[in-house]
Parts: sequence; C-alpha cells; structure tokens
Amino acid sequence: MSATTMTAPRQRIPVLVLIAMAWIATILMVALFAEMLRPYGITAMDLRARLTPPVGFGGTIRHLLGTDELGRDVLSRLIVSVRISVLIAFGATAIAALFGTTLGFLAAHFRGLVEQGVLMLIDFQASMPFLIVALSVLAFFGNSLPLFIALMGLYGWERHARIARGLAIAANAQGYAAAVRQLGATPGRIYLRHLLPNIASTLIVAATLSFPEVVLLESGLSFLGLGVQPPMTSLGNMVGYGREYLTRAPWILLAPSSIIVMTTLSVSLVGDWLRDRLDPTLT
Amino acid sequence: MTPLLEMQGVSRVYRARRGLFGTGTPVRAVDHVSLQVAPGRTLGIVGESGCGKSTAGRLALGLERPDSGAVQFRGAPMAAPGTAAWRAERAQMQLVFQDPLGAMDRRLTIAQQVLEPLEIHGIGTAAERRERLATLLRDVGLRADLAERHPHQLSGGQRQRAVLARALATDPALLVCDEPVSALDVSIQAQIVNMLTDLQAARGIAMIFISHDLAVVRLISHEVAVMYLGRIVEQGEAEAVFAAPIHPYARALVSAVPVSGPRRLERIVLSGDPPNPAQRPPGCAFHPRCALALARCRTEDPDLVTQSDGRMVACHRAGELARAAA
Repeated sequence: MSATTMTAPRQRIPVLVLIAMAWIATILMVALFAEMLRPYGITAMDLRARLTPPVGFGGTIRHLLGTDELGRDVLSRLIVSVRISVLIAFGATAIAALFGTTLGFLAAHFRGLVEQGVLMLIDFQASMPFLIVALSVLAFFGNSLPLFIALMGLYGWERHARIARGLAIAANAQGYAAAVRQLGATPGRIYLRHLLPNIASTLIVAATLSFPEVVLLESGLSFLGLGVQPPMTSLGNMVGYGREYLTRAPWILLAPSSIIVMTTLSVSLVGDWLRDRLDPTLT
Repeated sequence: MTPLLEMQGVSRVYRARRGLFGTGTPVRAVDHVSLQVAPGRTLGIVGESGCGKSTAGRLALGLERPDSGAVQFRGAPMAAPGTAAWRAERAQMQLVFQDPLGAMDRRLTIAQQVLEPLEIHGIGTAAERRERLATLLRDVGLRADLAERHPHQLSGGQRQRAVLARALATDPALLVCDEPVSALDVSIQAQIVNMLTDLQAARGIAMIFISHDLAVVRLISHEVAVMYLGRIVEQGEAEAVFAAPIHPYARALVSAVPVSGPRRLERIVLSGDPPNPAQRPPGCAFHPRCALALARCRTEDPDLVTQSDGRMVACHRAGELARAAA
C-alpha cells in the first residue's frame, strides 16, 4: 500500500466514465447555449408538417427529430427542455445537499432538542409521500419556476441530513474530529475543514442518487400537468404530452426519454467514479 | 514543587439507561479521585479496562466537566468545554491517543496536521511554521520527506510519532497519553516510550501516562496511581509501588507482570468476575475478589490513608500488609 502505489502512474479514467463525462458536458453546453442552438422557436408551428418522423425514418432535413402533433420541431423543444430540466435538477440537488448537510451538522453539533427537532423533520419527510407534498404546495401557491426548483430542493434532503448527522456524531465521539476539537479548533473549522471533506464522498454519492430522482420526479409532476407548464417545456413535460401519440409518433416521447436515461446514467457513473477518486486511501 | 495540575475529589457519573423505559442507573466512572502532577514529572495511571482511567485523563484535560470536585491547572479552574477560553487553553495541554490512525484526518498530509495546532492558535508566520515543522519531525524521529504523506501511508509507529509531533506543536505544559503504545509492536513501544522520556527531560513537560501495561508504566512514571472501579486504591512513588505493592489488587497486578528470572512475588491470580461499575459491591469494592478480605471489608468502605512511607492505600489491612511486605 505504501511505496508501490505512490510511484505507480495515476490510473486512467475508465472509458465508460469518459463517455459519461462527455455526455454531461454536452448536456451542460446544450443547456447553456440552448437559445443559440435551437433551430426553431419552441412554439413555432408548422401545421403542414405535423407528426413528421425524424430523419432516416421518412422525415426531412428540415426537422431532424421530426415534429409533434402541432408541427413544432422536436429537436428545438428538446434543446430548451434540457435547459429547463438541468436547471431544475441541478438547482434542486444543490439545495437538497446544502440544506440537508447543514441540518445534519446542526443536529450532530447541538444534540438535545435541536437534534430531536431535525430527526422529527427527517421522519416527517421520509414518511410523507413527496408527490402529495408537491401537489399541495403547487396547488396552494401556484406554479413558477423558482418555486418549483425550491420545492424540488426539498426532495431528498433528509438523506443528506441523515448521512451528515451520523458521520459527524461518529467522528465527534472518537477519531479525527475529537482530536481536532481537543487541539482547540472552533466548531466551524472542525465541520468545514475536517468533517465536510471527509464525508463529501458519501454526500456526492447521495447527490448523484437523488439527481436522477429529481429528474424523474420533475418528469412525473410535469406528466401530471403540475410541473413545468406550457408553453414552457421540459423533458418530463414532453414525455407527458407525447404519450398520447406513443403509437403514431413515438419519437415525440422517445427523444426526451432517451435524454433522461442517458443523463441520469452518466451522473451515476461519474458520481461513483468521483467517490473513489476523492478517497486518498483508494488510489 | 507546586503542582501544574491538581484534581481534588473529582467524580464523574454517567447514566446507563436500561431497557426502553428504564430510568438511568448512575455509573460512577471516576469517584473522588485526587491527583497532582508537577512540571517535568510523570504520573502513571494503571488499572483494568473500565476502571475509569481514561475518564480520569479526560477530566484532567478538561475535556469533560467533573460532576463534583475541582480540576485546577496552574492554580486556576478550567474553563467550560466549548468556550473560547477553553479552546485557548488547549494549546497548553494535549492528549495523545491510543489509535493514531483514528486520531488523524486521513485526507490531510502529515505536515498539514502537525501544523494545524499552530494555525488554530495563530502561532507564528508561514516561514516560522515551516521551520517548526522540521524541528518537530526531527524531535519525534520522523524523516522530513514523510511530511507530505497521508496517514495511511505510514506505519503504526510513524503515525504515533506524527500524532505526538502534533501534540507537541504548541509546546504544551501537560501531556495526557491515553494508552499511547498499546496498539504498537513491542519493539516500537520501547522506542516511543524512550522518546517520551527524552522529550520530557528536554522540555519539562508534565505527563499523565494511562496504561494497563505495568511494565511500560514502571519505565516511564515517577509516580503511579492504581485505579479500581473508579477509585484510586494505591498511589505513591512508582518504584515503591512496583517493588512492594500494598493493596491486594495492586499486588495482583504487579505479580502478573512477566519477569525474567525467578519471581520475587508470588503470582496472585484473581478469582471472580471483572467488576460491573453499575453494581458496585458494598463495602470495599474489591472484597469479592480479594483473598485477604475480612468481614469488615464487606460492609465498610476503606478510605485512602497515607502510610508511613508516604504512599496512600485504600485497604483496611494496609498497615499489617505494609509491615509484612517490609
């Protein structure tokens, strides 16, 4: 474990992970430059070319991925959908990770009543079907994109809170956190400089697990008509409205579905690889 | 000499809850313990596991608050744990752990961790710290190139040296070593113990050395306290206690140390179960396992009484045992 692994060349990144990284990069680029990349407006209708199949399946070069029931270009809608869905998924995952980790640390640090309160919140969150919470919030407060992202951010925070709390308590009771504490370090230093980097790998895995779930949840809510509202579009929204044409025009539904599958898979793969890479004991 | 650290009648009670709705049973982990350590001296604390020696160490460092009694460092009481004053005090007293790998942050290099106390207490400039790092590593016998390694890339002995370097970084006046060598190889144990003695001689550090290994304690301690079930049963000059222990429990412990050549003391094998601190026997806590117990020992708790040679023993028969041993 000592000299040999130190001098050995750093391991190459596995091909699958490289592909996944490239895919995520592409998705991010598409999300960033969506307005420049889309060939048509997402509401621009071409009524004479309704339900045109994609190129290679009898379609024309004018609509690479075909058109939907109103003759809107599927590719353009897909590009804009990626932007909205990525925004929601990244935003929500970041909020969940930040919120959950903070609550977990607070519970581990103060114990007592604070901990009981956090645990109660965690249990409440875990026992309540999130879809119902989301439905009621959206029904009461209406729908806007920032609210929707914030709401999705409430999804999965309890996982981060549990992990952060458990690992912080363990480290505080014995081990490096206790050692640093008795060196005279402030709680801020203990939690930010020592605990957070040490449990980051676990939290990243949790985040990569909840990222696909947020995408799917967004899809589910949009499918029910409660997520992203037309004329705005998202991947889930496209799947939802495309299902009526599943037999006649499957490309409307398959294009966003395959993006969802590829992206969630890529995030999981990269997250798993990242976890190993961030651990200095696994070189 | 005035003691650097003084514990007066210190007790620490934990509550062990039994069952789902049971109320807690108080467990007196440390019970009316009084200790002093002078600068440049080492106090050894020995006893079975669960006798409260680690808790005594944590109380001495102010990592825990005693439920009764007082701990004084340089004549002043300790600040409450978690306060800014308490954090500032940490620069003067340090703990060395039993498990060096667990005590180090595996994501940081040795250099980062050894210098961390200086960063925390805001001591020195960057250049001074680099210099200090080199001195510290040399003092604990670590090669300079190991500074850039991570803890898992070191051997057990090297890790313990690194932990020690970190503990010494702020030049503490008091070092509490909680079983610092019990996880190490015997040959490395001797190196670390010798190093501790040298460092103490060079820097005049007061040490509390907690161990169940009597041979090691004898090697390093000036004074020794034998603990049983949270109390001190015998305390005195290390040589006197190890050469002629008075308390029957101390005798049994000392007689269990392997010696080369013919034994001077008869080997005493303790019978009975190791004690349960939640169910302390009435009278002298040691009487169920004591071969010399009298009827009085079952009802009356012996006090820690100073003997003619200055050592303190908590046994009803201390007088006659001391005469017999002499």
